[in-house]
Amino acid sequence: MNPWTLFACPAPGGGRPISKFLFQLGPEAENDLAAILDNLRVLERQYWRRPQSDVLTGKKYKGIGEVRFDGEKKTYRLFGYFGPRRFQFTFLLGCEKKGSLKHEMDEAVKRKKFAEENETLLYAFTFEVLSL
Amino acid sequence: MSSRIAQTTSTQIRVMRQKREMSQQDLAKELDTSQNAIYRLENPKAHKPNISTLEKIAAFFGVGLVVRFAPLSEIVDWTLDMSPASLDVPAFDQDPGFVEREQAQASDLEQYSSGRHDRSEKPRSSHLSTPR
Repeated sequence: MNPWTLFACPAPGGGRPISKFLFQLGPEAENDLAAILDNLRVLERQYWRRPQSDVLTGKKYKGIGEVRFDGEKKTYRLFGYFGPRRFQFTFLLGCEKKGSLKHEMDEAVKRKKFAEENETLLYAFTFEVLSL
Repeated sequence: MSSRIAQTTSTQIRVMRQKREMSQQDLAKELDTSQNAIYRLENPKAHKPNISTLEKIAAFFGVGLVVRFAPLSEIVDWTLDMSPASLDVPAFDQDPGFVEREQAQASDLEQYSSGRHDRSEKPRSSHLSTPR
C-alpha cells in the first residue's frame, strides 16, 4: 500500500489558513499532531479512526474527515477530505475544539467544494516538526 | 517523545485488534482484563501501560516487543522509514521474513534429499530454525 500524500487547500479568497493554523500551535500540540500524522500516513483508510481520526456524520458533511489532537491543555481539529486522488488527503481547515464546531464544519464543506474545483491550487502539506 | 510512544503503541494495538476483527470486549476477554482497560490502551491520552501489559499483548498477537534505549537519531530514522507494517504488525505465521526463510529452507532440504546437492555439503539454511 502506498503511503498517503497530504495536501492543504488555500482559502477561496487567497491565503494559506492551514499554514497559519499550524504556525500558532504550541510545541505539545505540534508534537502530538506530527506523531498522529506519521502514523496515519502509512495506515489504510479503514484504520483512520477514533481517537486520532474520524469522519463527520451527516449527509451535508459526507466525505469530510478530521484529525484530532491535543496540546497545551487544548483540543484541536483539523478537517480535510480523502482526495482529490487516491491515497491523497487534503486538509481544509483547522480549529480549536470549543463548543459547537458547526460554523467550521460548514466552512470545511465550502472549502472541499473549492478544492475539488481548483485542484491545481492545492499545495503539499508540510509539517517539519521533529516530534520527539 | 512520550507523545510519539503513546500515539504509536496505542495505534498499533488498535490496528492489530481491528485487523483480526476483534472488538475491545473480545480482546479484553482474551487478556483477562476489562473492556475499559483496552479502551485506555488504545487511547493515547490515557495510554500508560507497563511493560508486562505490553508483553502480554505482544504474546497474544504473536508479534515481538522491543523496549530499549536508543540514540535519538535512530528514532528519527525509524520515524522516517515508517511503513504500513510498522503499525499493522504481522503475526509470526504471516511475517514475510519468516515465510521467505521457511520457503528457502524447504527448497534447500528438497534439493539435498533429492541428491542434486553435493553430499558433502549440508543444506545452506539447516541452522535456521523458526521459533514456535
